[in-house]
Amino acid sequence: MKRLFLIVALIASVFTAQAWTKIVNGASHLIARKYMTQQAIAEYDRIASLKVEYKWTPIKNDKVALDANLQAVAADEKDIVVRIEKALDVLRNRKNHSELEQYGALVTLQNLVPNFHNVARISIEGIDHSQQDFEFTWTAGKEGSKKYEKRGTLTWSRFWTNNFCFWHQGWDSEYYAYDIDLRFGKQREQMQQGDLRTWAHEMGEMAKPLYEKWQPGCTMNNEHRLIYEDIHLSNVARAGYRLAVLLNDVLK
Amino acid sequence: MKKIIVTLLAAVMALCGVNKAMAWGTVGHNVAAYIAEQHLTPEAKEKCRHYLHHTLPYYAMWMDCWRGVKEFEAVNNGHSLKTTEDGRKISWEAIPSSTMGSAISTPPGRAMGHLLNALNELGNGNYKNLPDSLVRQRLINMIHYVADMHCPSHCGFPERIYLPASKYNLKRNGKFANFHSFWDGSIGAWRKGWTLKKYVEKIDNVSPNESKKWQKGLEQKDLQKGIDSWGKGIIARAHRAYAILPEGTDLAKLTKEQKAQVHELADESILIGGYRLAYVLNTIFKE
Repeated sequence: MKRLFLIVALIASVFTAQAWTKIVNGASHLIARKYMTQQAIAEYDRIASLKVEYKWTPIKNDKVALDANLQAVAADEKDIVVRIEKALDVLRNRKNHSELEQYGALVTLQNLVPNFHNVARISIEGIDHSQQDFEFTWTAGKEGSKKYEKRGTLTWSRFWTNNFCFWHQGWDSEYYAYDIDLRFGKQREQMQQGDLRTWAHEMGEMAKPLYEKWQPGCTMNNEHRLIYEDIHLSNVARAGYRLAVLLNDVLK
Repeated sequence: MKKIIVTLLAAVMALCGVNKAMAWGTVGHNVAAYIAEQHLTPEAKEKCRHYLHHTLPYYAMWMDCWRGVKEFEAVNNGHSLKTTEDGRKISWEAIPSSTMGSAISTPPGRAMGHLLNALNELGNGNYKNLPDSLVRQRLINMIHYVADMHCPSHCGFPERIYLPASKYNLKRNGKFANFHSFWDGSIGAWRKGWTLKKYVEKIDNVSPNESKKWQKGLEQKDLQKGIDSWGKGIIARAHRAYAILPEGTDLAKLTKEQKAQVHELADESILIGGYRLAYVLNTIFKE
């Protein structure tokens, strides 16, 4: 039995080590750190080094819920916007919260600000397939082209979470952060304008036409991975730049 | 219990296999571009940033990624070089015009032809008179094909010298294995989880004298002669690739010595490709 557990642990570690989300989240954290104030960095490091026993538990398929006008609804406790706002509140009023709560709030922001900027996490009222994950057919090349080959099915959340690292093998979070900042650095100030609610609206504007174009059972190919990579990377940049804004504000 | 363990192990092995098959080619290209990045002059780096808005490794796979898209099928060409009948010189044969596309020019001589054209088009300060989008496209392609032409399996020999990869008889656990794919992935073989930084730390220990020797050639007035001299070295390394893996070799049963020879040749080829890419870019953006 022990052996079985060891093997399962090995599988889990293989997946963790190769997870795109881990690299992309790491990249957004590094981008954020680059644009944090010295004061925010000092306070961030103090909280991050607290010796508390906290375990981050992700909520499967959590969403940024938007109404039909693409305004954040934020009525559900599990909603990403609600949880980010609560975490910001804890960090803003650190004196009234325990070390464990402060630590938990920091981890929540580290995880949910990137998730907030993941297209697949945007749920729009009136668009059913945006409210839960859906499957589509994945092919190499367009039908009729020389390279056409049916590759099976893929889910929408997997497409937007794990699908953009194929041609960047060997990159670590640091290199992703460097490259992404190089690409989007000039747009940083523009991306940082607004607040959580306006950013949610912006993400809705980005996601809505994608949900209208792609529906359960559709067929996508690797061309779409190429076309959408810039959107994906811009969202990693947004997550990093905006995490810096949020932390600079609450860790004064 | 044994059955469960065996099934789980098989699943892990299958997953690892799938990942390796997808990852090998991309590792080599990313490493070569990353090596080139480390050896750009500040001026060339600034110009590359201006045109690309990304690092060199970002575009390392561009030509492979887009070749499957109909409008860009022309980038199927220019990834390799061919030798002449005597197997000693580069063939500058033209690629049939039917495969030409508008997105990218496809000159004679495959990768070498691309390089010669790009140097003539962009060199001597000519890039300043061209639209940014055109310079950008030439650079993106160059990042890929300069590395590609240094891959030992990207040198096409006449069939009487070596059989083509599809017929060259290698095995893996008794089943046919592709010579071309093996060398495409050789840099990453048995090096699971290495980052670009680690590759450079481990393999880029080249003396300035050695790297200068590799780069020699482009200072000549006759650029084609210069590039030809690069081609001779590429052809010699391709011969080595065949010698390391003679027909009938089972890739699953390579000896330690063979594995060391594979890495020695792969590392050398990637380094030369990376250094030369840097040299080409430094030369173009000298003015």
